Amino acid sequence: MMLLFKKVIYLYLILVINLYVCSYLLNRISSRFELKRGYTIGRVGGLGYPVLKLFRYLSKNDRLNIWEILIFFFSFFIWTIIPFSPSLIIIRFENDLIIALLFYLVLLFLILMNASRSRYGFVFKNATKNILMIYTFFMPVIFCIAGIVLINRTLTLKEIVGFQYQYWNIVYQPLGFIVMFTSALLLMKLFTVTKKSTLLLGQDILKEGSGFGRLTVRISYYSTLFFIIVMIIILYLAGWQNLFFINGNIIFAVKFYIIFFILVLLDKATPQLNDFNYLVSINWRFLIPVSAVNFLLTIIFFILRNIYGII
Amino acid sequence: MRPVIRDFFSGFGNLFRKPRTVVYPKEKIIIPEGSRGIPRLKLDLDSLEIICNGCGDCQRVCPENCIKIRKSVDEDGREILDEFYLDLSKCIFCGNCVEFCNLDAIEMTYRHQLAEPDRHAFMLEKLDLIKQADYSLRDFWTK
Repeated sequence: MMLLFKKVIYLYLILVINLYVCSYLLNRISSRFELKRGYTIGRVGGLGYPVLKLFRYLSKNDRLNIWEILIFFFSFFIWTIIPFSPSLIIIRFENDLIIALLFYLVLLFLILMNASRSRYGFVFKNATKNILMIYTFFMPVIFCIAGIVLINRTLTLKEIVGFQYQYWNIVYQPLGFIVMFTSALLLMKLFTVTKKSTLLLGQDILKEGSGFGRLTVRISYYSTLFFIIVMIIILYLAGWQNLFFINGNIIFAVKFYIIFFILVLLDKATPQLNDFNYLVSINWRFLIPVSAVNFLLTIIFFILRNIYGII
Repeated sequence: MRPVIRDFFSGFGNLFRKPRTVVYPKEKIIIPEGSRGIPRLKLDLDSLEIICNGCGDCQRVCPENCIKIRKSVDEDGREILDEFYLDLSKCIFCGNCVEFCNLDAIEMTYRHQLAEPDRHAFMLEKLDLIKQADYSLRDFWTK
């Protein structure tokens, strides 16, 4: 019991530190990218900015609704399945990859439900469009994950990491990695984590949902983004496998921040995608065909090797 | 795809460059030479009197009609400036008044921070315009 409690504390500590660091990095990188100084209200190079932001959310009076409470618990609960290290798993399932994806879909559904109770028509319209678009970006991700499962022949995340002790999966599935990375970037764009946008779900921060409820929604955005990044690391970049003599946990953190950093830079370098038709065309003309071709190639390889024993 | 890669690397380079913006109340921007701030009325350095004789050229050329001049006649029969009003809320700092003045009696200062809580404070009188001489040095705000 004590061990479980200790694990939960460790897990939430990691998440809170991660939220703090990512919020700080977003502020610094996105402003320095445009040769601006960024917020320095927190002094010491804006280190207090995330804390100030937290208090700014908490200072507003707000009435919580059931969806926001569910989002808050679920955005933390999703991390009980996904392992950050071989020992830091709270709930063990045999097929935890499927459960993790299911949790992710449920979290997106809760965000959609929360936005749908808005009194403002345009918020509901934009939120529904955004979430449904993110659901469509999930289709190529499913193809990529199916390819990985075929190669490693397991649905357990821990075993998938274990299979990559010699070669990382990115060597076998470079196309899948590109598709996963692009879908993560588009997810980041649709949630508009780096900037304010008219497409933002809670862009009417002055009108409604400015208090703790808004904070929970913001945390859930980060949570979904972290989920995709962690899945990329576990599925393609060998998770917590030691690199030479460096500890696996440190390597995991380094990989996480490198991917996050590149995603933020790419997000700033690409224009704001307000046109849904353009997003649809990216999905149908690039992501889904490439991921389908990748999946077909993997299936052919799988059949030739395991059934006919040619390769 | 090529512009995205170009922007990605130029943005990455920006992370190591000095930011262009400043933290305003603490740091001040160096104002470029020849910037146009609030106009001031010049004084004759020998007699310490206003050079302007109230001819009204500046009032006529002002596109926003923000200058109002009232002149009077002194004991010797000379025309002298009695009142000079400048409405800063209307002024567009075009510099026409400086350019058209025959006596070279008006000059633009470098004072550019004009926020005031009261809109009546933007109505400057003759004495206010003489006091603007403090702001005629360019590096005043950069200290």
